Amino acid sequence: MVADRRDWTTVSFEEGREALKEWREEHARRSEEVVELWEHVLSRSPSSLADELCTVYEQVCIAALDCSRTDLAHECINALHKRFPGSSRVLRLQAMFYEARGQWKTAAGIYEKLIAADETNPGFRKRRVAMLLGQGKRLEAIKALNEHLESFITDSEAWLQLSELYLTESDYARAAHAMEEVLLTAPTNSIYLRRLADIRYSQGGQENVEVARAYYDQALKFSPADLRALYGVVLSCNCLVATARLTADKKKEYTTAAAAALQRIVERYESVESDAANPEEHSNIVEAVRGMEIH
Amino acid sequence: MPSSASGSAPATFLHKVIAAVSFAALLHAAYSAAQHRLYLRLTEQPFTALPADIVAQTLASLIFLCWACTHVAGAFQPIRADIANGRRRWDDVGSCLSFVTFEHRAKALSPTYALDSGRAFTVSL
Repeated sequence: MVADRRDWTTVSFEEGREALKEWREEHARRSEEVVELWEHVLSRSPSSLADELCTVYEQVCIAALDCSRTDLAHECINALHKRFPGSSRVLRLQAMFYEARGQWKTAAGIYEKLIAADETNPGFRKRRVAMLLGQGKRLEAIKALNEHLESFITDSEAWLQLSELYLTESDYARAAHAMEEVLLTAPTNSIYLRRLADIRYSQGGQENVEVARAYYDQALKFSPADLRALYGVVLSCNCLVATARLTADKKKEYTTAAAAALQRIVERYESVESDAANPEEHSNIVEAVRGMEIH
Repeated sequence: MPSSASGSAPATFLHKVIAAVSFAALLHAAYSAAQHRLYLRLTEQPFTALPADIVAQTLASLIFLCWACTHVAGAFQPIRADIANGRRRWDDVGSCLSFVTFEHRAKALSPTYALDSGRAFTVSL
């Protein structure tokens, strides 16, 4: 991976461009690094970016707003406005600028205009919800998001955001439902499966932990090296064996499943033993992991 | 997980031998057919159909080859649809950047915090 933690002021132009592209595609929120890259590396010759120039300007603008660098954000918006006067994307950035400054009414006015101009674009409605979140009105944001999802039912990002909001309200049941809607659009994504399993496990109760275990298993099928899913299998099996009313067969099944997952965890830890910074601590960790086994 | 299409036995030496032999037999049948047509052309006889033994050899070797190959190939593997997600982090996957808000503590880290927010610091001495 190009983008690891390092000093971004000394990288080459190509590396900087690659890193920005990677972060754009992954939806990473590394705002300070983006601003640093722009200022030290890429702004020296912006014309070399050619086709990517405007997307980079957009990315840098949002990162600048995140770092509270209003001067840089203003510069980016001006540059984009010169290139595309009257563009709705530039107007959206302008509205986000007002949001970052706390001028909610001005921003709301711009969004109303944008929505009226283009009813089918979900991006502007999502910003309206984000404004409510920015003002701290979480319950109203949840309501607005539910309304948005009635018209845009396949918007997986909105469902994901809804799931996160319900989790902040500790409403695990609705968060799990929202997460299931996300899974409908990407059923083989092991990260979503693991997240849903986490939510179910947090809900507690025999049924939910059994469902969590099933989802952890499914996540492992798609991503066999997923350490968190392995831990999830161990924890849910231990929980079921210890607290639920099970037949002897089921108990045996869960115990062996937990033992198998534990074995894989230990193998994974042992495979990185040679790189371990502190070998004593490493062996303590392995011992503690082995201690999770039920006998 | 779906079980192997050809039964549970993994590829044994017998399967490999049958696969090799039936493949050779198939090639031999093809060669025989070509030779037969050449013979007919040389003796100026019309070509209507291949002799029954060549047809039988082709079909039999094909069936044995298919059966032996399914054993040699082994059980089905699940489709690795999720390879890319193995390296991704929840921070990036769950970031929901369309909903990003700028109301967080990093505002105070900005060098122009006092000027921007309209809040002036008063230093009382």
